[in-house]
This record gives sequence, structure tokens and C-alpha cells, in this order.
Amino acid sequence: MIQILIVEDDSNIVRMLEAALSIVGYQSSVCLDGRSAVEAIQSGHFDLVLLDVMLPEMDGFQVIGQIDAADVPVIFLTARQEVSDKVRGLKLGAEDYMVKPFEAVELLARIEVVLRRVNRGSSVLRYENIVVNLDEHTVRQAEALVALTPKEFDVLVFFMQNLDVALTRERLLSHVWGYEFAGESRTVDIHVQQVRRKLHLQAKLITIPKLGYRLERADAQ
Amino acid sequence: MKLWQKIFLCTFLLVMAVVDLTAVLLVGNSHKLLVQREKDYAVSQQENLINSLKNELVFKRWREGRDLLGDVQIKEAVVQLLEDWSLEEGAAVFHAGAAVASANMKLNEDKKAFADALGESDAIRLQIVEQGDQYTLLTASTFVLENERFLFLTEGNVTRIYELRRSQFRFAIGMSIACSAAVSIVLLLMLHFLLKPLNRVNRTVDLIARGNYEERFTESGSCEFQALSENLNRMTIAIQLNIDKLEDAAEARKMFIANLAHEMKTPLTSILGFADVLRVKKSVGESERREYTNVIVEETKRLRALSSKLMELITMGSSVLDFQAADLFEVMRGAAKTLEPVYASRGIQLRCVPVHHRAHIDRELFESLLYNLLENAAKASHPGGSVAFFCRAYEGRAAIVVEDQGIGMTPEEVKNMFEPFYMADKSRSRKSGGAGLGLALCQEIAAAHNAQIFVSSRPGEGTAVTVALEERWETGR
Repeated sequence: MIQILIVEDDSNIVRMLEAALSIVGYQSSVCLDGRSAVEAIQSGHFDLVLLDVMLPEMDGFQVIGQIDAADVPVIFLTARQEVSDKVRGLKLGAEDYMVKPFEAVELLARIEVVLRRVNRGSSVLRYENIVVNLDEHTVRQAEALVALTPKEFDVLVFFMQNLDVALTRERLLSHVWGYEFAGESRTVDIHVQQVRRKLHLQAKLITIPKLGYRLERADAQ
Repeated sequence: MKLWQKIFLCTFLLVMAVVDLTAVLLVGNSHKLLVQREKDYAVSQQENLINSLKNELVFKRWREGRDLLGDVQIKEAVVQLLEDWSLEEGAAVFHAGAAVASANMKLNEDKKAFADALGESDAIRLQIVEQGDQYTLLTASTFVLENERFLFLTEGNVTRIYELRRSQFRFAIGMSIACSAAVSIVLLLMLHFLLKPLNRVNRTVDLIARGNYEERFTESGSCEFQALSENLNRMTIAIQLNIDKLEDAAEARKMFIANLAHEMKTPLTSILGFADVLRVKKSVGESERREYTNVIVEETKRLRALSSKLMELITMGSSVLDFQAADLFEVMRGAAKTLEPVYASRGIQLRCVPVHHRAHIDRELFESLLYNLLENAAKASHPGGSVAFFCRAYEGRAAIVVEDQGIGMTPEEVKNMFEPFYMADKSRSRKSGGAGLGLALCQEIAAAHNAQIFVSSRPGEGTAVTVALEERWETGR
């Protein structure tokens, strides 16, 4: 189970982060100020820290300076969007930097990327009889290899990492294709249809009108 | 043309003109005097000659024992005399238009005509004749011998006078050139020395113009330059102060915007996050749904409060105040009435003491000020507590006091309480819907009324806020 530490002083944002993290089943702990965050990070075993920059007593930059950022990946959450702040945060060893406000799913996607980069995410994903090996870049259904294009593979992985979460076309575009461009949502539709067809997911990978797609949890019924 | 060049040229030309003119006049004058002396000498010499001629004739008459001498004898005597005199300079005697005798003189028509022009008069004629580089002074006069009129013409060489004049002019030109060189050197040195402070001032001005407003003028030269430096220093200090003020204002604005962005983004983060969770999650439980939507509503209200306070603050800055005489108690009652539900819901008692006093205020804005103070008092009060709201004299001025017995503030918090977005207790303040702008607004309104806000507070004991108006407190108004 992935353990995530939330360091944030606004109680409503804390609740929002907890709710978002619970969607994909991450466990979360909370620190309301920088000092207790340093203690918690040094004593506990967290897979990732979500760190607010503007904190009472000790700001996020000071917190990351006191901990060994190589031990635990840190994603900064901040209202400040100056490039200099971003550079400073990343130089101090943060893995990523998110500017408030942000969508819950974007946060989850960034967390996923960071966890995979530091090898804390699982490299094998399972869904019903489908097994995806991220290291080998292979997809097997009932032990038989299924041939997917790289983009189709990424789309499938993104759905499997976000079970039961509705993913908008924009989110898919920015996560898989790496850019946000409203006019290209046809590309997403074609790839989702290909994944659906090749892996026989017509009943599971459902279309949600006016929103996007969702891969339903296997044991949902 | 530079200033030093202008001064140099003007002074130089003036000095040289005066020097040269003086030299020319002096030389001319001394020449004239010399010429006059020559003339006087020539006249007196001629008179001497004529007198001795006359004496000679008298002597001759006596020797020969005759009353009158004949023409021939006279002429002989004249010729004899001229020879005897052996004059250095030429002389000639004419009688009846013809030369009787001459010595050392080349006679020509011009000289004869000059002498003849005298005619029968007793006057003496003098003329300087130029011939090549020689100057000759001709002197003519008449005298009578034995009833016969004779013309006497002498000449003298005066070339040396003219040569003297020429050499004097040459000397004057030489002196003038030497003088001009000396004057130029002295002038240039003087100008360099005198204008040096100007260059120093100019260099400092240049430094200041480049933005080094810490530079100061340290001129110790003549008093004009000292006065200039002092004035320039005053100007620089004024500029520096203005720039500092502008920089402070820009810094304050930057801080305000950064804080505003933070205050807006914090609720937005919760709203967007929860809305997204609600949107993407397949199934959301009833209690979760209620919790999430509650947060969204709460945070949206926070944004609403922020935007309305922000609008008030902006319109406050641009609105024209409408000052009118009003009863302060009426205004206080208006503010209290608006907040009645808030006080009632928290079980706080608002004790509004009816003391009437009239003052000139913008009623709407002043009510808003009191409203904000009362709202803060309610937030700081414990449930069941009470807030006193009254009018009184404060150092002779009319003042309104809001006094609570709530949580109070530390001196540090009191110091910062009027800063925009400053919140003594962030989480508490946010829960009660504060945006951190209320007291900043109060401060603006008070400043527009020339009023001052005094705060005394003790943690755990409560806070008293006094708004002291500009107007005097007069009993019975």
C-alpha cells in the first residue's frame, strides 16, 4: 500500500487531497505545519510527500532542505506560479511542482509518474485476465500477447491506474500525448476504441457522455 | 561654444582692445607734443635770426654812418649773415618774390609758393612736408627791414620724430603680442580654477542622473557653488525620498497582489479538487457527497466575501466622500442592527450605549467601518460574551469605541492587524469567512475621515478599538 504524507495548512485542501488520494487507494497522513512534517518524514516511511510551500513556522523550501529528498520523493503544491519558485523547488530536489488550483486527476497522474520513476509503483498491473508489465512493455490477455501501439499501451495503462475514475479526453490527451489541445479529442476516441476492441473491453471501458471514459473495477458488481 | 571659451574670448578681446588703444593714444599724443616742440623751436629760432639780422643792420648802419641802407646793402648784409650763421638747417630770404639769399636750401617752386602765400601778413606759417622717407618742417614769416618787407623761410629735418613714432608703434605691437600671450595664460588658468567646481558639480549631477541617488555634492568653493550644491543636495534628497516612496508603494502593491492571488487560489484549490473528485468518481457515498459539496459551498462563500471586500476597497479608493452632519449614535445603531443576526446566532450580547454626538462624516462609509469593527469583535468574542459599543471623548476628540472581552491579540498581531490579508489566526478567520481585508478597509475609511484608529489588546482579555474622529468632543452636541 502506498503511503503519502500531506503537508498543508488549509483544512479544506487537506480534506480534498485525502478524498482524491482515496480514489486510487493511496493511504494518507496529514501534517499541518512544516516542523511536524520534518519529524514525520524523518520517522515514518512515506512513499511520497505532497508539500505546500506557504506553511506556518517553516515553509516548504525549508522543510525540503531539512530532509533527504533522495529518500522520499516530494511534489510541491503551491499557489505561487513564478518560474523562479518552480526552479528553486526542483533544484532543492523536488520531483514535481503543481500550481494551485489543480484537478484531482491531474494530481493522481503526476503522483503515478513520480512513483513509477522512483520505482515505488508496481511494474505489473492486473485487471481481470489482463496483465500489463510496464518494464517489459507487454500486454497479455489470458496468457496470450496482445499487440498494442505505444499510444494504445499508454492509454490502457492510464485507465488501469485510474480504475473507476472518469477520465476526460483532455486529461488523456495531456497525459498520454503530453499536450493539452482541445481540438484533438478525436485521436483519443480512436485510441480508446482500439483498446476496447483489441482487449474486448466493450462492457467495461464505458463512455460517459459529455465527460470521457471510465474503466470500471472488475469486482464492482 | 563652451562657457570657458566664451568668457576667455570676451575678456581677451576687451583687454587687448584697451591695451592697444592706450598704446596708440599714448604714442600719438607724445608724437604730437614732439611736433609742437619742433614747431615752437623753429618759430623761436626764426625770431632769433630775424632779431639778430635787425641788430646786424643797425650795427651796419651805425658803422657806415647812414640813416638808411640801400637795397643792395641790405641784401649783402643778409647774404653775409646767412653765411656767418652757417646754419645746420636750410634758410632762405625772399624779397619782392625773388630769393635774396639762401643757405643749405634747395629752392623749388613749392617752397617759394609756401612762402609767398604769406603775403603781407605778420603771421608765421608752419608746414611739415613729406618727401620720400624724409620729413621737413618749413617755417615762413615776414619781417621788415628799412621799410622793405622780406620773407624768411627756414626748414628743419624732423624725420627723427617720425622715426621715433614708428619705433614706438613697433614696440607697442611687440608689447601687445607679449601682453596677449600673458593675458591668455593668466585667463586660462583663472578660468580653469574658477570653473573647476562647476565641473565637479556636473560630474556629480551626471552620477545622480545615472541613478546613484545616494551621491551628495560636497562643494567648498565659492559661495555661489556652495549654494548650488546645497540646493542640488536638497533636490536629490527629495528625489530619493520620492523614489523610495514609489518603490515602497510598488512593493506594497506587489505584496498585495501576491497575497490576493494566494487568498483566491486557496479556496479555488478545494473547490476545483472536490468538484473534480465528484465528477470523476464512479460512486460517491451520501455522506461524502454532503461533505464535499459543503466544502465547495463554504469555499465559494469565502471567495464571495473576498471579492466583495476587494470591491469595497477599490471603490473606497476612487469614491468621492459625501460629508454630512450626522448623529453618531444613529450611525452606530445602523451598524449594530445589520449585525444583530450574527450576534444573536453566537449568543453574544451587543451593548450599544446611547450617547448622542454630532459629527461630519460620510455616513455610508463610516457605517461600513463600524460594521467591520463589530464583525471582528464578534469573531473574537467567546460565545455568551458581550461587546460594548459607545461614543466618548478621546484626548478631546469625539471617538467611537468597540470593546470586546474575547481572545485578544499579542502586540505582534496588533502591529500587523491593518495589513491587507493579515490574519491573526488563519484557520479560525477562514472558518468564520474572513478575507483579511476588513481592517485594511477600516484603515482606508478612517484615513479618508482624518480619523485615527487606536487598538489596545491583551491576549485572553479582549480588545478595545477606538476610532478617534477629527472633530472635538463637545458635551451637549
